[in-house]
Amino acid sequence: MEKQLKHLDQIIDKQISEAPVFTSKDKQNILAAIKNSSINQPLRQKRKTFVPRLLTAALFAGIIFASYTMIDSYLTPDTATEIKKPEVKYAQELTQASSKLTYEVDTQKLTIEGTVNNTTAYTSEPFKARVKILKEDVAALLESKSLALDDNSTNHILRPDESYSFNKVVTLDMGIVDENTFKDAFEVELYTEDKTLTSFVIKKIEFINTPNEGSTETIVEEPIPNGKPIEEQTKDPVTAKDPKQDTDQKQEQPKVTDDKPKEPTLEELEQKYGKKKTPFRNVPVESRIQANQFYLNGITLGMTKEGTLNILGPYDKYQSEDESTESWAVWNMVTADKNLIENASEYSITYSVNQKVNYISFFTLHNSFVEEWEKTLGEPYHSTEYGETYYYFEDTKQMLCLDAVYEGFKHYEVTLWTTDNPEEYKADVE
Amino acid sequence: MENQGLQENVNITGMSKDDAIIFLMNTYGEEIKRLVYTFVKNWQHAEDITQDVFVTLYTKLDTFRGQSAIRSWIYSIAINRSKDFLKSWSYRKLAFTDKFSNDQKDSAHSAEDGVIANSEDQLLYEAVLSLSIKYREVILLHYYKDFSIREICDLLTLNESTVKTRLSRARKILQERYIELGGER
Repeated sequence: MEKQLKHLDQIIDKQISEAPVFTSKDKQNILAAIKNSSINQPLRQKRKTFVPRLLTAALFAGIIFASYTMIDSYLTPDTATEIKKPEVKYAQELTQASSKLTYEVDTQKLTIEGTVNNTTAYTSEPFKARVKILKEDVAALLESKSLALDDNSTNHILRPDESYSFNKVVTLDMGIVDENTFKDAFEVELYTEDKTLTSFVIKKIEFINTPNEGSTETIVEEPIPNGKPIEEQTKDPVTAKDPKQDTDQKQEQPKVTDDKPKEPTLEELEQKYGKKKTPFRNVPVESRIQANQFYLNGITLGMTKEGTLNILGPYDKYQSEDESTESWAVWNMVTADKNLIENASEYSITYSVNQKVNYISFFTLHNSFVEEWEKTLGEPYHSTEYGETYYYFEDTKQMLCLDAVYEGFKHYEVTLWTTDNPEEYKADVE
Repeated sequence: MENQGLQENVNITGMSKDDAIIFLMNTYGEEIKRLVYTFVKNWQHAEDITQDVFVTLYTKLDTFRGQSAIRSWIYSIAINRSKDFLKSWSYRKLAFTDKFSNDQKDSAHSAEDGVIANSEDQLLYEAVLSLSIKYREVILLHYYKDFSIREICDLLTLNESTVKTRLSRARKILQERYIELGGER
């Protein structure tokens, strides 16, 4: 069939018709339609007289009202006039909901994350967020006494009951770390031009990827070579640091590096990432509001290839044209519908050149799973007549699509990617 | 039927609107009507939609600045009009009530063209036309109309990964359909 596909142009044209299908009759019809549409245009315009009339009436009524108001205010004595200044109330204080600091000893990644709520009845003033470094040695390594939590030009506004989530990852080579290294070291501050809306010191500190498997609170005293700190603006997924998943990880996992000339064999993969877990029978889809990210089977965009393999285990297929292009890994799935009709499917991840997840997709027949996800995903960003339902996080630009496909039976394609222009998916092409 | 070169950018500047539309009909009429047919699978509708495409082209010729290839522009209008039709109430009703008779008419039409029943080519053609529209469109644009992945992204306003994944899935489903219909592996 692959061979035939190369000649599909000839095959389809031959099957449709060997004789021309666009005839002179078609041309005549088109020219007649163009002529008719041109002739009818002025007539159609003539009929639409209601709107101008309405506008004229509205303008006339406006002039009368304005005149009346002017005369009224002129005749009213000054003392009787009360000048009402519009009173704008802002939320003067925000409340910390959660905060946590996580240090990955192996990768020297420090993640500062948390949430702040607006528990007042008012909308907040536009604010920015930063982390102040309270300890001199940490500040010296970071070469700064504070870190912006977002792009400096970004101002946030919180409406009542809304929350602001932050997630900042920096690489920090601290050498030897112990329980006091990060104690009272970081203070989060949300501030406006003239005041601080909230500030708090992060108390909860976790160390992960430590020699004691299963423990996330263990202190590591292993020396790590020093180096310059590199600030990373990427929002690494929370899942990568999830304690549950860490327990599944091997203690000393050799990294999959770009230097390897060939992809590892299944044996090698199983040595590194444990036994194969495929075929998956269910792939949970969830949105984590705190970090504004979607997770498909615990995987989100921006995660490293290494991180995904730690969670998903060895893949079933891998494709990489060359090192300068993106690569593609596939995990087999088996899903079923309500009648237990099974369908072979694939959970696939596309990695960008720098080995990070930039696209995830899979099929499922399992309607009840989809119904469950839809309940937790909340209000969609957009739905189409084709059965596509989009969910979007503006902060992280993540777009999730549940796309119902009808091919004798209903199944869904689930895809996750990032887009700066979500509106494109609302508009048709022309 | 030969495909137009992808890089071809027909120059219509300096022509009157009437001359330009006649020129465009002569140049693209045949391939657009065939493309539309592969979307809607009905000659009467293909004719109506093709007509609509050229009328739309005529009304928008003033806005075309020649920055993009005119072929891509015409294709995007044709694809859009075809998809508009496929999601219209009238099509759904027709598809629901008249499915079998349409199938018979279509296969009769092919038979009239002298195609040997159940040949490998015919099976592939039937398998392509049986794909759901989202898979059919990428197969048709890539293999039938020779558009590159990048060009398909622009035509369908999809990102590259989506097009690649759809194309890969479409090939897989097409292979299954082809074998189901009796084609060789």
